[in-house]
Amino acid sequence: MPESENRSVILDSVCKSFGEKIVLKNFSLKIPYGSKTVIKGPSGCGKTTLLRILAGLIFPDHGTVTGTQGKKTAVLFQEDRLFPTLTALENVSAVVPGNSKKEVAAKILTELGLGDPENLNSYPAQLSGGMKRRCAIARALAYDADIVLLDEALKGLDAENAENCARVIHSYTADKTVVSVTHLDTSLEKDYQKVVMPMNTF
Amino acid sequence: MRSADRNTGANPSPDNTLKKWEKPHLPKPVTAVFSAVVTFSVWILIWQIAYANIGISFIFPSPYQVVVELLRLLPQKKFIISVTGSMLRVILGYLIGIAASVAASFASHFFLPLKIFFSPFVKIVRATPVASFILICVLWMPSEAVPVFIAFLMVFPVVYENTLTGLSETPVELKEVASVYGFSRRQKLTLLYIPSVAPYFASACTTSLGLAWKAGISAEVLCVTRDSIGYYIYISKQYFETASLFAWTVAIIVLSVLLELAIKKSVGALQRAVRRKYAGK
Ligand SMILES: Nc1ncnc2c1ncn2[C@@H]1O[C@H](COP(=O)(O)OP(=O)(O)OP(=O)(O)O)[C@@H](O)[C@H]1O
Ligand SMILES: [Mg+2]
Repeated sequence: MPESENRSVILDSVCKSFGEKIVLKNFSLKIPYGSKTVIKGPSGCGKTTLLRILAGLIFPDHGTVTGTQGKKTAVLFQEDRLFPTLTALENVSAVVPGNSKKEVAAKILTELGLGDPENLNSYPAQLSGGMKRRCAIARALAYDADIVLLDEALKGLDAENAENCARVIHSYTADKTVVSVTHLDTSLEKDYQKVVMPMNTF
Repeated sequence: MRSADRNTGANPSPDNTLKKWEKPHLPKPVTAVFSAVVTFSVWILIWQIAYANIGISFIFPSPYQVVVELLRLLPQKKFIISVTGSMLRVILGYLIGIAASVAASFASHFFLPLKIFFSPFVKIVRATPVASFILICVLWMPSEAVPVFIAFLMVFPVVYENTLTGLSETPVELKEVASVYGFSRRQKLTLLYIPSVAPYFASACTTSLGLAWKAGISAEVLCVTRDSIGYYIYISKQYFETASLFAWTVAIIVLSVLLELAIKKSVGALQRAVRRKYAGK
């Protein structure tokens, strides 16, 4: 086994179907630790499914995923999935390990333009769509993860915020393994390794 | 605000003329009280008419006789003691029932064999007439304990099943977030489970208190529990003191309404406290 095999996340001939619908067929991909990968493909081609397999939320029908065991994984879900009973600050601080959770959370939120106390103490229902997205991004970055999985990371953000969020994501994930899936061309992924995921037509 | 459509019309009418549908109404509470008084009076009237037609007061007393009897009972020591005794027994059984059923439902949710184990128990308790349970229990336990146990038995299935429903409706999306970010047990409890269970738990608490109260008093009647409302109902029936039977029943209804108010207030306060404690606001 070559050295690099021990230092990568490897998807080997992964197959996944939902009932009759085949979503992934013999999908293989090597993602070296610390690398940045973007997987691009049309809506419905199985990007979210792939990300869920990487996150260990669902399992492939056939094939194997190696290199994710024992690694901490942060997921920025395609939907924001914030806790409605927590404020923006609490949603983020909930995933921060160790002490000074609030400070760490507030710092990231501030960098993403939500540093105003009014925003920090708002519940998700009181935030705009783009604010919720930034809060979800902050949560994914605040977690002390080895692997960061991003699903349509900059969804619903205006150009200025998208640019800033991309910069903040880069700075927080410099030494992490990042897999981003999207159907758009965004500035976030311009230096990422590109993988094209075609629409399955089986 | 009743003036909402004033700003929207193409032809705004001057402010001092009210449109037809803007006629001033009586404030809500006044209408509510008024309709309650009317409804109440109509029913009392029906009662009075029934009494006049039956004409045998030891079978069917008049509203007046019942009020007189109730006023005679109210200041008596036995009334205070029996009301207190009945309430304490039912509330004790109720609280034990809530604690046990919440614990059982959480355990069942996470451990399927327990759910299977409790399933026949809950079904049987729901399907069996309370009287059967009461008469069986008299054989096994002292008459003071039966109302407590029966109240417990009424509460358990209702709170158990409602709590389980709440738990099963915990959003999968948020469960996935909790698992991805390695939430602690405590975080899962306060962020996932308590918010989903709370509305079901609150309504189950209210519903089951009424059940427990009625069943508890039935138990007192059938077991002739000393110092209880049920005991005096039993005695009234034995001596054909129908007015007294009615008066005790009125007391039970009034207390039931008061208990329901109290539980609604407590559950509301509890929910607010939980929200404040776990949601930081
Ligand atoms: N739990 C599921 N049950 C049934 N079908 C599913 C399930 N999850 C995904 N699918 C199907 O799998 C296919 C791929 O879905 P997926 O969400 O992975 O697409 P996607 O590439 O993320 O699309 P989008 O860009 O629109 O988010 C779709 O046809 C979808 O209907
Ligand atoms: Mg998707």
